Amino acid sequence: MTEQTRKGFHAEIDEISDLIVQLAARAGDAVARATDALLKYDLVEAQQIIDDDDYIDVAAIEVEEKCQSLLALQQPMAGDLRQILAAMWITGELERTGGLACNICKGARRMFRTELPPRLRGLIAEMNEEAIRLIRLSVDSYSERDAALASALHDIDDRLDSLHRTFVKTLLESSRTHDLDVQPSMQLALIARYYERIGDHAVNISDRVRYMVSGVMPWRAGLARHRARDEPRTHELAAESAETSSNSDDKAD
Amino acid sequence: MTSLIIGVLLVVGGAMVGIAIERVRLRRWLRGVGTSPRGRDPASHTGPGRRWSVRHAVEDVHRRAGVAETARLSAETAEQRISSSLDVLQSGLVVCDRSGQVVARNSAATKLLQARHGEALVAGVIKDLLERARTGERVTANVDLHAEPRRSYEVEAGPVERDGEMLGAVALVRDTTEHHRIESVRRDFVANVSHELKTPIGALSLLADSLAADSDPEVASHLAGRMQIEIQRVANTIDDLLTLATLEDESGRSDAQVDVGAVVAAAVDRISETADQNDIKVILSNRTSAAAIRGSRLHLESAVFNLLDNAVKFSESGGQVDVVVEADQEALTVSVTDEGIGIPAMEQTRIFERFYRVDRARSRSTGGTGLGLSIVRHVALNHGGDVSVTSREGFGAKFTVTLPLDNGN
Repeated sequence: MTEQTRKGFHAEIDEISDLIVQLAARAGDAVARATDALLKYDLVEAQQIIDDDDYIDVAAIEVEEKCQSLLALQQPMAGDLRQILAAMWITGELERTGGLACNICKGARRMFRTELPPRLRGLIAEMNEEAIRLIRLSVDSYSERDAALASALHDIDDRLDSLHRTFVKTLLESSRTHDLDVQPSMQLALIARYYERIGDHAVNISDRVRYMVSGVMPWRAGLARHRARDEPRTHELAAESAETSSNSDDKAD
Repeated sequence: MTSLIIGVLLVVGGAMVGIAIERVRLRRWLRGVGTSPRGRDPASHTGPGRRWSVRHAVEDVHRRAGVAETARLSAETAEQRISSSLDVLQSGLVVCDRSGQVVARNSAATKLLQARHGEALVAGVIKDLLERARTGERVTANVDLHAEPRRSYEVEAGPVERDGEMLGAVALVRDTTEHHRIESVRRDFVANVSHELKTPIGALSLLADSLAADSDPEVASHLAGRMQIEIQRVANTIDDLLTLATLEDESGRSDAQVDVGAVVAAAVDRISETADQNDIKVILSNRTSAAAIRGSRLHLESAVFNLLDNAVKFSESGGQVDVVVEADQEALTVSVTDEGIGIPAMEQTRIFERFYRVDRARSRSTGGTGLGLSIVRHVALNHGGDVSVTSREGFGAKFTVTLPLDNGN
């Protein structure tokens, strides 16, 4: 009897979901640490965070391999299959989140010795909080299999997006009033973008959760839009030729 | 059909065999009751030498069953007692068996092991350490969670062995957040005190050296002027320390009736000159009608003045400071809101500590002794109230002093 069957398929799936929760905790912590390093001008800590990112990568690979072996050995179907596929995707998103925390650290390193204007510091702290809140909410929706919460994440992410816009606006003002050089200004703009991306990854996670719970694929909205755009033209062509058009162009939702 | 009959026969046969065994057992046991000495049990009806009777035996069976039940119950109660005692602990306790399966954990540990956000990291460390402890190692690890709310944990694990045989492992998790906070308060206090006291003295010593070496009267007068500034700085620090000392001495507390509106107005009046110089508007709105509390007018005014002083000091020119006095049924609040540089979130809990500076490098240019907010907090506490702060860095700060109203009792 192999270890696989002995431990039980669902126990394995539960283990994967525990590992993802831990991976998310690690990624969220990396983001918070990176923000600390950035705001405290702490280069040693920044380097440490970049080094520690390897743990996130290792943990992500562990989840991926577990998923692969379950797919290969158990041939799961329906909900089980969706859960494993979602786990693989979510792992990728979390690994990227950790990567973005590293990017924040590298940005901090490149603009070392620049004193940040208080307003920008305040906004960075807020973007950090908001990004972490989104990661936590996405993990909540994952562990509770809460599709409603997962759907809400798109709207919740609006706040981080608007913070990002405010940041860029304030950055442009600050670069005029505070004599901020081009290099740090550019780094700061990139860093703000990293936080915004972290939020987007959390939203991606929530999309995968919706898929896991209900089987819908929210990320295919783009495909539907693409079809909807193309559809009228095909219809016109069809109408020209035969004047019989079917009413099937409301796939956009 | 045949299988059914065989089945029924088997069941009946089994039951009969069972009954037979039970009867044999019962008979043997009853015989034992009749002959064995029962001196151990004082309540026994079948003591040594007593004649055996069916009635006694039946009573004995009932009593024995009772004893067994009581033993089972008391074992259960003991287990429950231990487990509810462990649940009271703030520290988490996890026990696993030889195969790594968790066999016991208290409620603090359950909370951590089922955690979903930052604490999930602690759960991971607990599992890792238990794994290592099962190989006979004693291990400890510290886990710091950096996302708000920041917390620190210490996890300790070791093997459980009896007579050289490995039974499993146990892990203990302690929340060390408060411990670390106190530790850093103590460490920073020493560093900040020496910074605050030694810097002006170092400056004085340098200035005095230069003064001794230079005979040019112009330079001398300039150096003397600088010395006066440094002396003023030390004097201010000593004054503030003395104020804190009197504040700590509860017996010195005055119990006079104080009109808080008037106190705030006086403080605003005192700051207005500095504010005008820096082109900062201070706007007072008193939304109470002569709200009075019992306390010290002097101390309350100094507390409000300290808040105003900070607000003006950390505002940019052209800014505005709003002072609002409000009251409800229970308490009176004085809030001072500025549009200045604000306070980083992670410093907001620490600014009321003595000599604590958000930015030590800048403390000399902003002046002050580093004791202002400690004084504010002490005054508020002495009047049965408290002080709180809300701020976004770069977007100003709002300090609110809450003072419970004297309801004529």
